[in-house]
Amino acid sequence: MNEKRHIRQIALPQVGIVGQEKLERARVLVVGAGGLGNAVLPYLASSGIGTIGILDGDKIDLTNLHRQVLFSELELGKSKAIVASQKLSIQFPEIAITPYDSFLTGENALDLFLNYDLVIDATDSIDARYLINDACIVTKKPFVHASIYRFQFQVAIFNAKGSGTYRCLYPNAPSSSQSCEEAGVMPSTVAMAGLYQANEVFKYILQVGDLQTNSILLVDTLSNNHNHFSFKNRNQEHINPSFFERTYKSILQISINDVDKNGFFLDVRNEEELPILELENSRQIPISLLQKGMELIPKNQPVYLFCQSGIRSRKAYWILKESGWANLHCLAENAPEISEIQHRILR
Amino acid sequence: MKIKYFGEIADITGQTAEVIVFQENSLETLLGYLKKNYQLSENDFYLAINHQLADTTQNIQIAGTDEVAILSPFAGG
Repeated sequence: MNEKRHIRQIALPQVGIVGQEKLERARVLVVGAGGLGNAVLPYLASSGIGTIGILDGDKIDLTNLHRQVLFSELELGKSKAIVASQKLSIQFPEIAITPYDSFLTGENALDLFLNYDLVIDATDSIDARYLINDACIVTKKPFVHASIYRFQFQVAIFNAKGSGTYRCLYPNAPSSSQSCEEAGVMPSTVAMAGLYQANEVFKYILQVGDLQTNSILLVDTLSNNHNHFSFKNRNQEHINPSFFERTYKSILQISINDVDKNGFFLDVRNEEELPILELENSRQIPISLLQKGMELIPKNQPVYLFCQSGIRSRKAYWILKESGWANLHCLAENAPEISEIQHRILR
Repeated sequence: MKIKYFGEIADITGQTAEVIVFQENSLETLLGYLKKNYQLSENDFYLAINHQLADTTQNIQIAGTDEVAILSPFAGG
């Protein structure tokens, strides 16, 4: 630890050498190196947080520069995560910064989050916020949220030591909501939101002050009004690894033109549904009877699932996957399309 | 009843706050008012009564002296 660099914060009775060591041991992942990321990252790094991950698959664009102040015109088109990491590493050489030049997905979220103590939600879409929330519940990590609409921002820490989650506050996504690109934003608004996030991180790591748990802070920067809205914990037990996999991980899909000749076709429609198909190596088990009829489905050959539109076959995919079937695929085509090209399969 | 609007909801209502005197103070009256005047349905917003988020699927009481906030998640960042 370079004590001299941090002496002014070590001087605080709430920090001290012990607090500085806590910061040094902390591992923080920042999801998003856009407006919020550019505000929160320099202060996480300058405080001496020992390990920082920066995740963003986006590239630097001219329209970003007014609020994403780590970037310049020389870096247009380059990876936000990599450039942010390079700049911060020059300024703060004593800490470990790892860039991830990719977007957060259901495939990478859990493995990434497990490597960190705390996650920062610095994204710009509601879908990403639910993904972060659910991945944090599954990996038991707290996350500091901020989001912006024009001159207002919201900040809270979720899933911290049993506190409520983003889904406790907002159980469902709204019908529509605008990003900064669509709604417009001043650099100072997004910077303030990012600094509130950094402050929440410091309080969590140093175990000082009152965390913004079970209450969202909504700041209006035009009136300077600060509003706190409290919310109750809701049961989140259903957000488990199986829910996460079903919701966020992609299923294996294959075209009927590419299937293995030894494959087994499983039609999960009801018997009365048209068109009636005559496929070799096939069986019809309606989705409602799948649990009872599982022994009729082979485990030693590829199983190709289909239905009328693809919704029930996806559901069946997860039922079978959780019951131990490994070689499973949903067909890209369903009964109406298969009927049209059936003669080619039978040939 | 004082009603405050935040974020995109304030853009829809065209104001950040208003005071409305309802003949009968109830959740149903409030939701009906928001729907009729601003075409806001329950799926478009969250509702806080005296700074406490309320579950609109439950039977909740609202008094004329209550401060109601209508808000929604923000996407930007």
